[in-house]
Amino acid sequence: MKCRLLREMSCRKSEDCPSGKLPAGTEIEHKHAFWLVRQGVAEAADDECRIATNRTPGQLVRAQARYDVTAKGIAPEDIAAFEAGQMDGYNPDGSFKPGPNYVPESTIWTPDSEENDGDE
Amino acid sequence: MAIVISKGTVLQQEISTVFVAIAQVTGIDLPDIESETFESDTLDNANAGIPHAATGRTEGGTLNAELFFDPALAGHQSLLALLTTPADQDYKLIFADVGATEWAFTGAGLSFGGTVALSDGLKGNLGIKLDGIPTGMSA
Repeated sequence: MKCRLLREMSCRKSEDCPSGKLPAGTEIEHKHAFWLVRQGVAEAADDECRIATNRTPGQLVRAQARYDVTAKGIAPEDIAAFEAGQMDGYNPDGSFKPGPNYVPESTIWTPDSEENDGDE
Repeated sequence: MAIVISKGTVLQQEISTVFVAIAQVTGIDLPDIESETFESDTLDNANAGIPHAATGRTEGGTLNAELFFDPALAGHQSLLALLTTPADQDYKLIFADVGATEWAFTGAGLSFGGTVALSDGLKGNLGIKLDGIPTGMSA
């Protein structure tokens, strides 16, 4: 059965995978290809895989969205921040890598902020 | 020299030639890798210290991982499939250091257990018995 990768994935270096990476769009023929589809990293490329996958479109979409959390090793307590786009993983010192919706704390206005002093 | 954080560490399982991250892992006990030695004492050894010598072989040990277990999650199901159809399985452990150091190893066997507790989520415990030792431990 065949599946098609939805994202770049690492692989064991071999003749078929000399760089150790398979790009998105790579077609994989393997008896266990359905596992990749179920886990959200690939889509079924033939009927055999589609049938073996045995998941609804909604389940597949959720798995695809969820895989980013898994691939980046996001801790359970940080998943909300990741899904909100505030963080996109961890820096080596443990701080958050800014996500697409990251807002620096210094730019957030609050009634008690120093910039507001004297406005009342 | 650096203190490497644990958040961001990823354990991957090879499926259909690609490495896929295992979801909801909360902790990993690295395998107790030990080089094998034997006692090389002899009757004519005059020293108090008991000598040992290396056999030149190293035991890879077992990697243990704790996770929030989801019996419906494809990634956890693919691990349990190794219990219904035992086979060698390749894994990668990717650390959260600056260089994202990878340890690649083969698992010869898998054990699985878990706990159901009122005060906690459903937990699973994996044990991966290493075949040999990981590659990537030393540059």
